[in-house]
Amino acid sequence: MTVSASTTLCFHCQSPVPAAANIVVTIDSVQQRLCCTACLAAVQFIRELNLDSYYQYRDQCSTSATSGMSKARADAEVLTGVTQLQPDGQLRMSLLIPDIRCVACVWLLEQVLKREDGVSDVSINYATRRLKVTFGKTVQPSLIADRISSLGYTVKPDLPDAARDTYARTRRGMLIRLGVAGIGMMQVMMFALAAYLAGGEMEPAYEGLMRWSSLALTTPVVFYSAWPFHRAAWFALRNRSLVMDVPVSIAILSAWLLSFYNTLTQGHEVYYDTACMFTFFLLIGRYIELMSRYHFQHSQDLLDHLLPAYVYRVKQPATDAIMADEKVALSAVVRGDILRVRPGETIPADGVVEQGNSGVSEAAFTGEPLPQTKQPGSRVLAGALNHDGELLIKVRTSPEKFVIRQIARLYEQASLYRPRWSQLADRTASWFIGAVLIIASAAGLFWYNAGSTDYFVIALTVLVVACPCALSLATPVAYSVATTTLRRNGVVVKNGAFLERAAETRAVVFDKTGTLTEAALTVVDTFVLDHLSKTECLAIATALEEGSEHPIAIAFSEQHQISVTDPAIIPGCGVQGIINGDTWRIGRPDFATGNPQISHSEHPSASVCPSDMQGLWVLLSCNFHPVAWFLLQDKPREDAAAVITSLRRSNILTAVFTGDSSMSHADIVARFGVDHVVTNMMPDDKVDAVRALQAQMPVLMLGDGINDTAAMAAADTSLAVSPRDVFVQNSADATLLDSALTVLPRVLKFARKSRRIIRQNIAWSITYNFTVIPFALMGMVPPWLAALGMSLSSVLVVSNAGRLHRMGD
Amino acid sequence: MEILFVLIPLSVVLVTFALWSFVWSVKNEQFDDLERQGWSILFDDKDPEEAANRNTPASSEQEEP
Repeated sequence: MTVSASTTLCFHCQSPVPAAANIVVTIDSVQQRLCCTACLAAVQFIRELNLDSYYQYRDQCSTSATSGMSKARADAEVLTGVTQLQPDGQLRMSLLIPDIRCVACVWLLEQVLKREDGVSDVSINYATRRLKVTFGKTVQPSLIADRISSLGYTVKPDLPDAARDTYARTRRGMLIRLGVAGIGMMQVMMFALAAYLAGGEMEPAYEGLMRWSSLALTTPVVFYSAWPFHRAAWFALRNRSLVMDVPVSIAILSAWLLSFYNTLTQGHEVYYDTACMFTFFLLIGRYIELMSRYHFQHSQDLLDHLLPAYVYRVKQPATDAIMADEKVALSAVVRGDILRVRPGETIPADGVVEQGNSGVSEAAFTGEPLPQTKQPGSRVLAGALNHDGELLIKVRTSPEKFVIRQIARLYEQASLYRPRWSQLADRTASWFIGAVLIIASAAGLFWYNAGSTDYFVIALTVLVVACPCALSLATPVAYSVATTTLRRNGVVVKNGAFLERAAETRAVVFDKTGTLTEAALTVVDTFVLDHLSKTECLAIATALEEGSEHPIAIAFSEQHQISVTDPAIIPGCGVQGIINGDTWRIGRPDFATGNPQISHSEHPSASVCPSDMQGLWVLLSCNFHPVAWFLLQDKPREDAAAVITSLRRSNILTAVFTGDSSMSHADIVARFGVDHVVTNMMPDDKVDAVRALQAQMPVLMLGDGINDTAAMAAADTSLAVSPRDVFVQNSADATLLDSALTVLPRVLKFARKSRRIIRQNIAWSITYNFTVIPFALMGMVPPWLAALGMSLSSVLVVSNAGRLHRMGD
Repeated sequence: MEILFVLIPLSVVLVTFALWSFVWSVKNEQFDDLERQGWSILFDDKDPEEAANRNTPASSEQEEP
């Protein structure tokens, strides 16, 4: 029996196990540690069902991103909304399980649900993390939801989403077009091969048979499969512009028309196979492009599902005596509504706290996982998690203007951004296409006059070969893949230029507080006013703060054996508890002493503390008598020094421009190892310093506060590190959502990789087009090769961009 | 070679059938998730009834160290 002590990850949910938790489970004679009782219940449930092979299967998939356990449950009313009656009298429920992590999860969910009585079918889409379960009327929808959440998964209703449905429909339609073209092409090639082998000596009756059969199969390909090309070409021509679809559409339609004419008149040659091939290969390129956009849409969609579907609105007019709630859909919420948010729920709307105190975790926006105290008047954001108290919030904006939606939109804009050279390519494309049309007709005319029977095929081939399809795909595909990859790694790109400029960066400027320091508190000093020792004071404080998740509480981590009775968290003030009959309090000085008029500097006992120390002062008291002062300070990020070393190794200049003077110049250099430090700067000084540095090299600025925004705007590009304010986020080109700074060297490297791949793509597509056109003009390129080469070139460009799916290290 | 007058229209009919079944399967969402099915062969798909009947929670492979 071995206890796997080396690993501190929970066996079930793979989140870190708290030191205090001592829950083990024996699996295959090996003891495994678990983080909480909910995970224990999930493991036991899985074992009861004989499904513990899940854990082996899970190892086969590379699951790095795992979320913690789900304690939230979907309620019956919401489930009814996504349950539909099928024609055969069965019910079908659509759910979104956002924390499906790998294929083993899919397997587990399927196995568990299939064993439920009355469940007839389970289908899970791994790519979209959506589950459809069909069951008889005797089964309660909430029972199924409970089964899933008892495995530790979050159950969310899969609400209809117009954008996603459109994508799914477009993709299916495109797939059908592609299939029709592919199957049609195969058969038409077969007929064409027969005619080719016969070498023109086929009896007219058989030849006619082949031609009419080919016509029957080609017609749907030309008019159904190739419809998107014709449509786009028509719209472009009507707007007097030329797009890539114009030559494509002309090539396909004219091949079909001429063949049809020759079939009717028993003319010399038919080109049905050419028409089918053009359509099929060109559609492959379009389909791949659509898929990469679909993938992007999907990550969007998960962002939006952070918000609850229903909210509890306090009925107006609310008198203080009666505060009845009504349940309404989130979309029905308007400005000025008062919503009730219970502990453990997600804040559904951007607004201001009207009533109540609570810790609210805004990890989604700031990367700061520790809850912030919210009291009447504080601003809260939709998507944040309410921890300990009940809040009444007044909605300040309509749902479409929520910050979380704005982030989603910023992200969308950035991924649609096209760099300068790509915009130039778009502008010149119409001239280029015009030239292609003229050259193709000229080539056709020339070969016709030269007496070649292939004049038509040559003209068609030139049309197809010269299409800059790959060139048009080269940049946008690479950008959308790169921004999606960055998003997955916790970097939201707002301005698409970020990638371009980050690739050029030669100097990185850091702000200190919140960027190089964690903005998380630690106890740096203790001043005892009583007969107790420092350790005893810390132990008592730790015991009192044990039940709280407030940032201050987390700063206390002393070993102790003190038992506290009647612990109470007073939101916004502190914690109170009884130890050996004495009432102990820790928190704000006015709360600890029970005297509302007192702050740290005014308190008589403050004289024991050196006055020049800056930080957060917390008072511990026994029966309202002050016992000890604790000084809490921000601690440097553990990874900061490593990040700076790694940047310096890749020859990037590092600098710290900070507004405060709590750490001396020498301290900062010693601790972080940066090249250049300036302290005590005003926001204007920062701008000037950044400009001065910029004169020598491209600068990337990292900051987190409003005081950095001006400098961030002045720098070539900027990255906001766990910003506390949306304004900061909006003014930076990109935002780091996780607070892990270690990602920065990787981001810079990734930006250089993206730039390299985009350049490769552009170089390849230009070279391809210009090399093949002369050969096509000379009639040396058969049409099938032209179509194939062009599609392969698009596929090459798209798969090259696909290399950006991985961030690398 | 007159048989071609039967075989070639027949091939067109067969292609039409292939097309119809393809369209049917796309519309039934069979092409929506191509990743999962590839993995499914790696999982021993025990028959649910059989697994449920085996009431002993510790099966033979679980007892192996």
